[in-house]
Amino acid sequence: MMAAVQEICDRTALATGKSLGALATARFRSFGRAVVMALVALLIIANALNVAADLVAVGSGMQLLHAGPTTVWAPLTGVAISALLVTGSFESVARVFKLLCLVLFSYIAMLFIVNVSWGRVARATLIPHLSFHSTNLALLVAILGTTISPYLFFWQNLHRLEEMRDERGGGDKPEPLGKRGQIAARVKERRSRFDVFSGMAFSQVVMFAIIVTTAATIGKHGKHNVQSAAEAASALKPVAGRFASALFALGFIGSGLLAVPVLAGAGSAGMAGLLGKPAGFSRSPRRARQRSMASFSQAPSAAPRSPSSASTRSSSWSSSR
Amino acid sequence: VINGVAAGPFLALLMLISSDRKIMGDYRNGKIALILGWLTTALMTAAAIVLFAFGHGGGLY
Repeated sequence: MMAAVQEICDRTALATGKSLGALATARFRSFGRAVVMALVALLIIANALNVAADLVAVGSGMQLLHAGPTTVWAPLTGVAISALLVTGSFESVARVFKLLCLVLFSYIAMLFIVNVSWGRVARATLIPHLSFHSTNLALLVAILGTTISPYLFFWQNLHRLEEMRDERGGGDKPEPLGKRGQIAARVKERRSRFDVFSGMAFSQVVMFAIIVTTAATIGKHGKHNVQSAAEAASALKPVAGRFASALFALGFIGSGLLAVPVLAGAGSAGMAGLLGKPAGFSRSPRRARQRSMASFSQAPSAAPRSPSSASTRSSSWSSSR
Repeated sequence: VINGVAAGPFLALLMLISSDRKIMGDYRNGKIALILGWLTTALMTAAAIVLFAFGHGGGLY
């Protein structure tokens, strides 16, 4: 379902060369637009909170690795990411992203260094044990909510537009598929679809790896009161060793770093599209003031937050990608 | 939490856009995308309702 939804978002970009915000303006009349506007405003607030939580997570990860206190790293990371987003081109941002994605492999590596009883995993995966206990339901809702999340819709669309904008032809504007040659359009459609599906598959593999490793280590030893990824990492230490703990911390530092620009960019792009303003990472700060302002105001808002208030999400790191 | 709750309406929005012939032309949703898309919309809306019904979120966030 996640892949299907992301593929639809991707296709809107391919077919029209326009952002979701702009398309919403085209599709709806004034009342509909007002509703969408309110939704996007809500999304931006939600994203700002998530950005804060992610920055704090990065900070606490660094603290775990003995690199310094959270209160230093969280704001520092926020400023660094803002600087990169405002000054860097989409190409350079994308390059940094790709490097960070490598860090996600550390979650998969964890599978090999902790003791997993694969028989039980296979059984539990193939024969799901569903109980409608309220805690389990809440967990299910949490996993769904972080897997299929509105900012990802905007992001998929934005990301594809950026890529299309950098391609030949079209000039400054992304060239919709309908205006391309038939074969070129077909190739692009296929390649984009493969891109989306393989990306979603990878995200599910990572999520599965995290669930299995935490279950096989922390869960098995009866420590169930884990409130954040940082706590999970430190709980891993006595059970699975320092190396495992460090790997886990590295994993969520990377995913936190990845999530911040995605969250900030998605909300801002949505709003810019609705207002008919241009948006994009390659745009110069002056022309895309709308976007830069929005992502700028979001990132530092994270700084003064205390770790305890913001980083109480445990399952969202993985699945948000 | 807000992200999960907002997913339902945003999905509906997305489906309306991506099914629109005027906007999407030949690239509008096919059968599979239609079914999966609306199914996801229903599921996420249901998830949001469940969350409100139980009214806590159980310290998960």
